[in-house]
Amino acid sequence: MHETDRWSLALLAREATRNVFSTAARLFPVVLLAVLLGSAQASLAVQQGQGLERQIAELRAQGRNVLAATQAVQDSPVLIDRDSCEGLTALSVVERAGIQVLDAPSMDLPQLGAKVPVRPVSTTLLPELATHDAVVGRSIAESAGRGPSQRFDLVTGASGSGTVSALVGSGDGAGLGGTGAVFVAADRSIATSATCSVVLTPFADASAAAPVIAAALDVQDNPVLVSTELRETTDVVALFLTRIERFLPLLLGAIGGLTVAVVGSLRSSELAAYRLSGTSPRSLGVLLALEQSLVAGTFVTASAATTLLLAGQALAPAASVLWTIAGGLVWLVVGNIVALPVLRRRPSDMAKDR
Amino acid sequence: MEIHVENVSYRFGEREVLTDFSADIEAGRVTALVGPSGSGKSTLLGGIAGYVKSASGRVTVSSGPRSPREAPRPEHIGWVPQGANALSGRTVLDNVAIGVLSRGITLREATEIARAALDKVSLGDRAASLARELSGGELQRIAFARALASGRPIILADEPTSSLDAANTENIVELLYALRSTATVVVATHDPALIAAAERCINLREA
Repeated sequence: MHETDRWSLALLAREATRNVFSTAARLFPVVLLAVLLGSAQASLAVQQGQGLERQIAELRAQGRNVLAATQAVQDSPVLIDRDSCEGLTALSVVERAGIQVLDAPSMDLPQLGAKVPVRPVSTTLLPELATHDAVVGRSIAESAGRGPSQRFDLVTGASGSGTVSALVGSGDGAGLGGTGAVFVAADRSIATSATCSVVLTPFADASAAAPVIAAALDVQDNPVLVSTELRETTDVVALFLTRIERFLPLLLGAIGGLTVAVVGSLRSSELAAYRLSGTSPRSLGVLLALEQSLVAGTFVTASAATTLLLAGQALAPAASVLWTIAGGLVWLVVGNIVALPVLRRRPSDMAKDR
Repeated sequence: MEIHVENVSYRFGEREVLTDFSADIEAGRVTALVGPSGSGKSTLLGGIAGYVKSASGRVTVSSGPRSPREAPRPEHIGWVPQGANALSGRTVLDNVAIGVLSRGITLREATEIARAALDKVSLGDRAASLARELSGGELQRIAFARALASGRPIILADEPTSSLDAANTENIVELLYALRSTATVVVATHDPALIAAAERCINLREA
């Protein structure tokens, strides 16, 4: 017998909503599970992202993603145009860039010691120099009892006759090759330098950026070599991007879809009520698919809401939500496929299930 | 609506349940299919409903002795199952309304029809209760209300009193007779009380 009926989609949707969200419904515990899974998955993603950010911050302090453009061959000095070096900040992967003058004379600074290296650099490389006269490298500052980001008046001159405003550097000191140096703003009359330092954005690919930077620099006399300050043994970003846990939303989606379908099979005596009342297998299939959609949607919504709540701490909230939506789609596919056999059962047999 | 069973045989694998069975079931009466377990009562009901395909023969229905015969369609059949098959987390009213909503009517119309059916089975005051709060006898009355609400011309009841006590069984007999005013009622049963109350018995053991 070919079965048809005249259920409207709106009324089937009403049925699905009541079968899912009624607190007395058999599916309601699965809704709670969906909320739990969605929230947990989003929290885990945030946690993993924070872990990566911590790793990158630690490596950053050691010079990760800090490049230096210098002479490629020993005894073949280069002169790098200052404007082309500072202009690298226009590249999307560059956070800061500027020249460093490495051969400036050292100074005796009463608070920091004798013969302290003083290094003129571009303010585009150390923006703090726009508001302070000097930035003091962390290691040298620590030996003088000053902590990171601390502001103080730096006494200059052997007789302590002058003071300048100083700030202890907060990071990148190692990468810029001068935790034991005091950085000052390079005079605008300095038009070229033997060194151009580039600080890339945390997730930029340094090996891909190096040739681009080399090509963008205006260099005189000899070829330039762009190299990283820190040689990493493992690429923490690549490891993060290929971690197996990124498939967790898909796995949870499959588990969720399977769970709803299994609960559905336990509801077969209830579903028999629909079939025995004239609901066709097709309409029952639509009803079950709508129920799956509501539960899967709850999973996605819970995950998205948790991600939104933790957005300030999340590494890539949009990516996390997209993965969760993919998990929701897996939920739908798995759940509907597993539920198919119930549509083929005789209603009179379903009615006898308990 | 009359039911015509013509030379049907049902087979499940190697096992034959009914062989070359024929019967005409008159409209507007309560007819009981009787016989021991395995004699084919539920199978024949399923065959009339179209849920079970016969190995041979056919089942047809007609609106009168001279009317053309046709294969039964889903809109002809209402089914009262052995248990109530209620949606436990939904209200009694919702449970009955689903018997009507597949007809394509509005929710308001379905609700009115469902309320009227609940009144007829004396559950009108429980419309807002959750199905899981009802007793076994009350749940079975939901099934009858659903069948009443469906307005179908053939009502098939499969062992409707199997888990009920005598008092509830008496209620079921009353409900069967309430149904027959608008439908042909066929009951598969081995309950003596139902057999005694039926207007006609077809003994499948003899078949």
